[in-house]
Amino acid sequence: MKPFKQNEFGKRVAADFFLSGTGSSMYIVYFLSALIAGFKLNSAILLAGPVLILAGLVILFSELGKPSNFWRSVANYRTSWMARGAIFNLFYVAAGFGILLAEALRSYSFLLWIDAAGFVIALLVLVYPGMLLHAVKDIPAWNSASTLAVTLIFALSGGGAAVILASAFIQPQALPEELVAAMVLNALLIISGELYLKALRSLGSRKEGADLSYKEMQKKGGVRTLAFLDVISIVLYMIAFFSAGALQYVIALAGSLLTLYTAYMFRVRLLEAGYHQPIITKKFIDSLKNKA
Amino acid sequence: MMRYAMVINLGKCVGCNACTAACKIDNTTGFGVKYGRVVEVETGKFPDVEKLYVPLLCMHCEDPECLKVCPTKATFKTEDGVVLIDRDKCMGCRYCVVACPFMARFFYEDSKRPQELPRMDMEDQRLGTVEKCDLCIDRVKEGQNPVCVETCPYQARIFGDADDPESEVHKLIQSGRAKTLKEEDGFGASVYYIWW
Repeated sequence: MKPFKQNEFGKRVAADFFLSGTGSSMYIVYFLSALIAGFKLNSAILLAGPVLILAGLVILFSELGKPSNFWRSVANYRTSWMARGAIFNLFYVAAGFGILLAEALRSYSFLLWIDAAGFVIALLVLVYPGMLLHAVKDIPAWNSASTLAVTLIFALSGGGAAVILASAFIQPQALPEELVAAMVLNALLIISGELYLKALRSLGSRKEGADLSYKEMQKKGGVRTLAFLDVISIVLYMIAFFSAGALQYVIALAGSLLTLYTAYMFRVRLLEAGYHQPIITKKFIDSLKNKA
Repeated sequence: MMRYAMVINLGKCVGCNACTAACKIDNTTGFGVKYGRVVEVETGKFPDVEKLYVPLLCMHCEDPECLKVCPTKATFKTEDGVVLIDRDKCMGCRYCVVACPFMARFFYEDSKRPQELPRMDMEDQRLGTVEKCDLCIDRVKEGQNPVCVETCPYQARIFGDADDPESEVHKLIQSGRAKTLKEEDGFGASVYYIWW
């Protein structure tokens, strides 16, 4: 019997993963730019994070068969990564709006605390899709450490691109620094995508499900196509870096939109490539007959 | 302690699908939903080939993956080892359907509802939730066998208490000839297969 494919998690779940990953990464980029580079991004950019996460939750909500029971998942945080993810997302939305409120009220001591809390929650939101997939023991392509790493990096690059998109309108003077960060993240993304494929291929020699996942990821429109689009994004970011004025914004926007597209499509491909291990194996049949 | 288990003799199953039909009728399952099904497997190399029929259903695992991932605690395990779903708690996220290593769970949505039939009992509670084989627990509590066991014309399925040393199921499991699917992954299925 061949490995079977999961068909339940599709584009809407991918959209939730994409939106929550992008939204939380925006905050991480915001926080790290202040901490490492001492560069304060406009807090209005931060507003996009909770909005994206709320949009992701709405999409996830529409996917539920009985949304009226959603509250039970919030109440059962110890049960699964799906429940934890819902809680992290809700906390992040609260923290995001809390930061905006603290900034508006100029309550800086409170801001310091909520900034740190927001960073921790953003990290949790960032890792939850990877952990949720990792918990599916029977799908080898998901149940590996490389899945965690690759989902994390794709989320971060999406966040970087979303910050460029938002700041092009709100804080254009921040664009050069953000372009450098986005180029680094996109380069990491290409490397991680390739490493993920390598990890899948080596796993595929031992597990049939992983082998089919690898083939699915290799197909037209798969990870390599997305990596090629990311190379184009990097080129666009480079051109934008050396440009000025309106041209810089337009090229930076094109690059960030392309990165966001690849970040979303990667999630779709990852979910589509979810192959279980075969239920009935030759080994099982042989051992039964040998015992007869 | 009671622990329900089933032993299926693959040497006796002819793939007539009487169990599949009986299960569908008894549980009034929707389109494409089969709590129990029979899979055809070809083994060997030409000219020494053989066709086997392997009945599949929820394995009522010792350590169920579906239970671990359920965010609302809708999936639970009874003391006698049966994995069940509380429809009132299920939010229909389908995480358990994805996590099940045996493809034994189904999401019941409007498109799977037999439209030509009158609305069945519990229809509103069923819609938007996940469902699966419950080992016909209501029948079992009344002292009957699950409907698939009852219907099999070749008595390929044996059902009973695996912890009762006098039961046939216990003896077959203890004989060392019975095997479970995906044994090496440690799910600890309560459905065993045997060949004789």
